[in-house]
Amino acid sequence: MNILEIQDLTKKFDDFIAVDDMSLAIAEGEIFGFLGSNGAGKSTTINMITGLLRKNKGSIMILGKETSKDSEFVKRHIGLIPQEIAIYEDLTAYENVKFFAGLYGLRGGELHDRTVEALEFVGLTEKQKSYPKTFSGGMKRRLNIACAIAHQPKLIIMDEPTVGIDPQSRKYILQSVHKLNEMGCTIIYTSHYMEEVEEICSRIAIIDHGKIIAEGTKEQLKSLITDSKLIFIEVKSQEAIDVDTIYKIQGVTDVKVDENTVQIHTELGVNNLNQIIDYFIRNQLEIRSLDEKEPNLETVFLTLTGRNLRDS
Amino acid sequence: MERWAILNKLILIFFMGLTLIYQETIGLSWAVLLLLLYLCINICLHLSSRQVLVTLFLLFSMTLSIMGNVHVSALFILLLPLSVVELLDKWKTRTILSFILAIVPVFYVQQEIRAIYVLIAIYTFFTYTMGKFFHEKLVKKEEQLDAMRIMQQKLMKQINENDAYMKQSAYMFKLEERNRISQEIHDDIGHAITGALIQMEAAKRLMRGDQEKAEQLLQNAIGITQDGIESIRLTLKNLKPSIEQVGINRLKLYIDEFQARHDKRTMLTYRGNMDRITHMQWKIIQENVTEALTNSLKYAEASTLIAVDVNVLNKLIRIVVKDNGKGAAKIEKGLGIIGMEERTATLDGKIIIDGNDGFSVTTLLPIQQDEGKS
Amino acid sequence: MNMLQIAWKEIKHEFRDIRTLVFMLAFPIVLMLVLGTALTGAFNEDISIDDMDVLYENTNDSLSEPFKAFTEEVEQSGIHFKPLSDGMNGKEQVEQGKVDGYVSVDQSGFHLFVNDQSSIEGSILQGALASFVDRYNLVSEITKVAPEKAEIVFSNAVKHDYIDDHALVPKKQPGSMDYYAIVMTTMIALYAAMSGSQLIAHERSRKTASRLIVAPIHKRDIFIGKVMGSIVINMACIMLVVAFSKLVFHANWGEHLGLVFLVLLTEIIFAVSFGVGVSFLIKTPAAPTMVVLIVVQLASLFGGAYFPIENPEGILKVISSLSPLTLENKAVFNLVYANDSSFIMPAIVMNIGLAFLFLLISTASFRRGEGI
Repeated sequence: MNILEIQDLTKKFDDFIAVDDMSLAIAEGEIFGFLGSNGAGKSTTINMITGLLRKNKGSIMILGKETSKDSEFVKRHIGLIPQEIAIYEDLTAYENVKFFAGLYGLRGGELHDRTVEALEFVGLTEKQKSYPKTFSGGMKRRLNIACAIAHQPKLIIMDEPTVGIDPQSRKYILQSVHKLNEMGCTIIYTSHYMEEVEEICSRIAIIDHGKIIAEGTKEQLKSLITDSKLIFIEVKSQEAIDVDTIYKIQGVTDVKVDENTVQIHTELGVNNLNQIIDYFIRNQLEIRSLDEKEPNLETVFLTLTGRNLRDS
Repeated sequence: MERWAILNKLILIFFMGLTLIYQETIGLSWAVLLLLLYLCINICLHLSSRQVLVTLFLLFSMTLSIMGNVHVSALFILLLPLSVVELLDKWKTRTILSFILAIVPVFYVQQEIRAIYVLIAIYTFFTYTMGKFFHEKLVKKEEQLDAMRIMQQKLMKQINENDAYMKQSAYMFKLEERNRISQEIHDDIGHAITGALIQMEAAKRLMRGDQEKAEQLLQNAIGITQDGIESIRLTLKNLKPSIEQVGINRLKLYIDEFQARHDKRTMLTYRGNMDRITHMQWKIIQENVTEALTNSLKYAEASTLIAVDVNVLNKLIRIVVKDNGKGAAKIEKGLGIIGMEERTATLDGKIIIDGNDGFSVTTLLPIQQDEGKS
Repeated sequence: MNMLQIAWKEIKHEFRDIRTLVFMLAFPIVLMLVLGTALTGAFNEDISIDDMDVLYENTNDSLSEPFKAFTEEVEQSGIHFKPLSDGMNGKEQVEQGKVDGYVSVDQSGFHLFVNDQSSIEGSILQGALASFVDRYNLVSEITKVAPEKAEIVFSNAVKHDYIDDHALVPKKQPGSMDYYAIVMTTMIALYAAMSGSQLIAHERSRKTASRLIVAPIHKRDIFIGKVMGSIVINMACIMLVVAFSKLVFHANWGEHLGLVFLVLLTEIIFAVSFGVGVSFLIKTPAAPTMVVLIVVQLASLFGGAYFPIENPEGILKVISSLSPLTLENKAVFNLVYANDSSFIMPAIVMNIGLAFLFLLISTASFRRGEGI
């Protein structure tokens, strides 16, 4: 079942078209990535899903209900982790989470339990009595997450949750995304960090100028551009190489020998590196170095839009 | 329209406030209270849209002005005419009636403000009525304008569709023509050669017996074959499309032409296997490039170079037209861009328009699955 | 319920903000202290008064005995009573300024003639005589019931310092500390507009506005909750300021503290609504606070928060009557010093009316806008 369905969504700010006739469906249980440069329309889309902005055209259905009609039902099942840290500096970590969870109708003992659970989830149990003033950037980010998950939403929307934090906290956050997903949450993750999206997302939409220009698993996206990767193997001597044998290895489409380097084109998604290396070893060809060139999302983005993700 | 009524009220209140302060009326606080109440009622009035509520508020406001007149200050009666005019207007009575009703209370008004009352009644009546009159006119005109805009859009769309249809038909004609010619080859030349073959066969048999007859037959066959060859040559010459008419060459030719005509350096580069692009896709590429180049000319005066790049990727064709001008922070979607989008969408493609670093139009077209390996 | 939650959060929030406390509590108290002591002179009624000469003519025999005792008594306080000599016109003498007053006692009672009733001398005389008359009436009543006790009353009365009674008269005018206690409190109540203007802007700048909007609660609840919280915390501050000035500075707040608080409460409601209204009318983050600050400063200046504005004339009258503080202060002063509650209603009505107006503007703009 699709947890989110967007049809012909459009948002204009005066004459600037921020989201342009966008259609999209996200199934339950996915970690769906929105990939795009700043100003591509990711945040605008998210703001319309969560009800922060009104749409000009189109429809947004969450759990089968139109957001603008059943907004209370829909909002109850969404957790938004905003791009900027949105917490109260003069309330303690515990009070922050409790206040926001309380807005979702939780009361009394249940409210307390959920608050404690959420703080435990982000690893701030020991700090629950402290004020966020004393927190590091990463801890604030984690509290920012806790405030959005205490009411156990079905759909969690994370808008650039890893901007400007240390690698350790980033790792922690990426792990919690996985954990939340395993607990049954569907996650929409926006970022302009390619590696993150590539690492955690099960499906990705590349957004540019308010449009989804490509969508699919990362393999599908990569295959838009090319269906092969290159393996460079440098050997001591090329004399004993039998190109025809290498051709017979599954997935290999082209083999070129250039001085001491063997260039092997092989199909993407076929794991044949072992067999290739095995061939060299069996024939007692001494491998000096091995290099693999595989297209990544960065190349996909660059090729499709002509710009680097971090340019703008 | 409402704005005028509100403005009128504010002017009245301002006038009354000033007069009250200068007159140093005794019940100033009551007067202020009443004025505030009046303000509140009238704000509610303009916020609500239900006829009943509006009427109620107006009646309340009228009572308030009369009560104010009797108990606090004579001036309050000045608020009455506007409410009367508004109320009667809400119930769509004739304007003359509202004028009379607004002016009638003058006979009950205290002597000293009678003149002011008449002035205010006439003034409010006229500003309100004139305001309404012009407002209605404006609304009507706007409706007409909207209707015309919609009409224009419709016509524009029709023109576009017709254009597309014409081009489509031209292409169909070409195909038909080609069909006809191949039929001709089959029918005419084929028959001629078969005829020549039969005559030569006969000549071979007759060679021994009737040499003269054989010679004649051979001569016949030679004639037919010569005719046939000539006919083949002719047909082929007509049939084969000029090299300029297809694919990348046509694009090249167009860009050369463009460069010559507009004196702007324009470069075409292409990568990948051009054979994977279908005719339909070429047609769209050609049209989009034309449109994008025209756009570039129009908006990028500062540019010195336009680069056109066609790149065939694994499952996508990417066509970029990019200039090195100033670009545009804001991109307005004109008919040209919408046209490109619609055209491209027919083949499930996408258009990206970017004005950050020069102006660029990127067309992405998927390569049909049945052509590649699926 | 959500409304209350938000209100409660707002209160906690403001209470922990040290700036609020300093501004709403320390600021008025320090100002009271500084202005109240520095400007004592402008209010001080403790003026040394020269000896006064008073002519009198007594045609009421029954009063001659006690009146004589009275004149002897006040002699010690520097009021010299001299009988009117023949051929002298007491009123003329007063008009010419030769004597400070002329008292004529006849069957109908006392007649006091002084040059300027509002002068200090005049009021002292008035006070002294009034207290004498009071006491005499008391005595005559007692005489009617129990003649033997009358002597006791008079012998007690002899010990009385009649002039002491005049202290009642200047008491009707507030001293500098009393004055500033009231005007500072009404001023600081108006400063609640500052927190009002920050109410929504703060959520925006903290980015928590998006969280609130995303939550399944009505925008109305957010709005009302926040305004409610702000009113409560500001009211609490004002009550503390009043209590402090009453207990520490011994400022006079009169007998009807409840009514005073009612006026202050409505003023806070007005101020908060005004702040909120401005923050919706002007959308930039810093401007509303500036506007509120300027308006409140001007209102304070012309409303008499820094120095009393008495009997303004012409344009000053118009300006000062535009300041809401003029009416608030008038209401409170009249209540405290004259037991006159007739200005309470207008002040409350004005506060609530204006508050309603600004809240209407805000809600209209709040409901229409996107986000907060």
